[in-house]
Amino acid sequence: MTLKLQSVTAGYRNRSVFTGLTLPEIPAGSLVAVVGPNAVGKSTLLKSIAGLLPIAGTMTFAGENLAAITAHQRIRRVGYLPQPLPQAIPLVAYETVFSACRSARSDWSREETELAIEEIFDTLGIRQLALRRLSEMSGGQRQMVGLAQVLVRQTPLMLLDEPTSALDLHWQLNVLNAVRDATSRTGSIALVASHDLNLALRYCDQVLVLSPGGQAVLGSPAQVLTPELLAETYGIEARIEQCSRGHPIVLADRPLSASVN
Amino acid sequence: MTSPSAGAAANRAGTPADGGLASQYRRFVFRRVLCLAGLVTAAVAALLVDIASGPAMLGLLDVIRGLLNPESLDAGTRVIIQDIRVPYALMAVVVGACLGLAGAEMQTVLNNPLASPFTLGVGAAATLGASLVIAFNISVLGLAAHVLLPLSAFVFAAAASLLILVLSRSLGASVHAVVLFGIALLFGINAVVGLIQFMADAESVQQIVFWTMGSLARASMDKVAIVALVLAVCLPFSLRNAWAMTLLRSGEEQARSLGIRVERMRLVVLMRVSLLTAAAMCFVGEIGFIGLVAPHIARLMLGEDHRFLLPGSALAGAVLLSLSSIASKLLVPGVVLPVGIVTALVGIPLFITLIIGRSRRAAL
Repeated sequence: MTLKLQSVTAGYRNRSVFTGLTLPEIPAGSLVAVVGPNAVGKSTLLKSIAGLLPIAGTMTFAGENLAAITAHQRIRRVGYLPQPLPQAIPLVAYETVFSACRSARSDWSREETELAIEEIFDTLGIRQLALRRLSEMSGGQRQMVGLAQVLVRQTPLMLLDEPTSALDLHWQLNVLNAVRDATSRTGSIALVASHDLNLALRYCDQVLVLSPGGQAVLGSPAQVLTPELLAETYGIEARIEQCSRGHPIVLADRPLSASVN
Repeated sequence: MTSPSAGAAANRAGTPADGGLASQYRRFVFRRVLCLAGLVTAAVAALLVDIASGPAMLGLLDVIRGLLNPESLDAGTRVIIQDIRVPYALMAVVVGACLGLAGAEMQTVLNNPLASPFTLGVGAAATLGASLVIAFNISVLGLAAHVLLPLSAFVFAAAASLLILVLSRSLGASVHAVVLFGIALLFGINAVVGLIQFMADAESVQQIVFWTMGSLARASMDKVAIVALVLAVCLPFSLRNAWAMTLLRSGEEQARSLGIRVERMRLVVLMRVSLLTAAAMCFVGEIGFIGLVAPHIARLMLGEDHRFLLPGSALAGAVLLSLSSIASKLLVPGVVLPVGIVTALVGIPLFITLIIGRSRRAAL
């Protein structure tokens, strides 16, 4: 169960965001961080794999051409978390997740659906939110419910667009632990778009760096996240240091193009 | 793509299968079912009071006895109940239900709590159709004016919806494009109706004005049956989309990734809304604000789960129009006001409250 992209071009209407993107095969069980500056195409890449944008080229997952499968087959295979949070409406968290199951996992019995929902609320630690309305939640809590909508479906490919953008440090770690656990336990692949390079270094098996010039580099965090690549991609002077526990951390010192006061 | 049973069961060892979140949610759902039952009761009670109220006041018991056993009443009371009050009151219920359902669906697919059949100019188009027949005495295929008028109102309402559908499709069916186009259409049609009134004679102007006020006085059992049939056909299709609409409300991109064809659903729902609106208005004229306010009341009581919101909004619409109908008969003793005036008088303050509430929430 691998993911492979060959000569993929995607974008909006008459504007291509990236052209001819080819990536090495991503193996089963991988947690891949998709990083890069703003507007470089991280969300576009996830949307195009999710089937929400037309593409040219080939995307293969578990031997199947993703562009050729039906919508019904796709929702069983691909779970996508969009960047916008679930709307603040009077819909309780339980039925938000339940409605996603009803649409995507019609093969599950009611008992199986209820067990899956119970499990995901426990895994994410949001059991106390189950009967609270989205309109009464903070942005971070709604983001957790959105994540539950995706993770509950247990798809073998998960595309998460900035899943921790509204979360405090506790919940960021909680979410990435849950995703990490899902990939290693079930062999699923998760692509996580993020601006947080340190979370990528800590949790991800691989990092995909998209650059403004259209280049893409995929490799292990230690290989890919180098001061040279960060300078080239983000236009910053940065260091990769070791923390007291031996983990590599990125320290951004200054922007290269802007003046320093 | 594993079954959740094994993992979840292992994680929740010792927890009974029917305990936990599922059973809490079932209790929560039961409360909503009770709310729906409460709305049904309110609709029935309002219907009975509506039948009882009017220039000739009847006791509630007389009304119930008259409905169950018409022979027990004198001929005069029987005629009042069967030929006037019952069609009038039933028309309020079915028209209110149509407008409530149409409003809820429209607010969902346009993701805009201020949308209603009137926002898109569908109601104004029906008025235009009626005005043309009244002002110019148009005769088609030898049809009588009382047949041609609702037919013309229906055709123009459907044409407006079709125009919105075609243009919104070409504009990508974005939420803002549809609403803005609807507002433009509304102003344009109102200008044309104004022109027709300017050109028409005094008697026609009076008739057009009466039509735009909205009145249940034109109700008959045949007309009630037609509106009820349209509602009975549309409601199951609405409910079939309940899960998809719930997902759409929680987030459009998430809904798309779950295989929901959002543009297609938006177009189908708008077509259904135009049918409901035209059917409701072609016999009673313009009745505003029910389609706007009823979904909000239902949302407050039942939340956004469309399995409950859609029937709840239809019931809230029925209750609101029944209550407006009662008020229209009681506000000025001995006079039955056009019900559209009452709904507007009640609806405008509610509409302003909604806008202010929305602005405050947006400012927070």
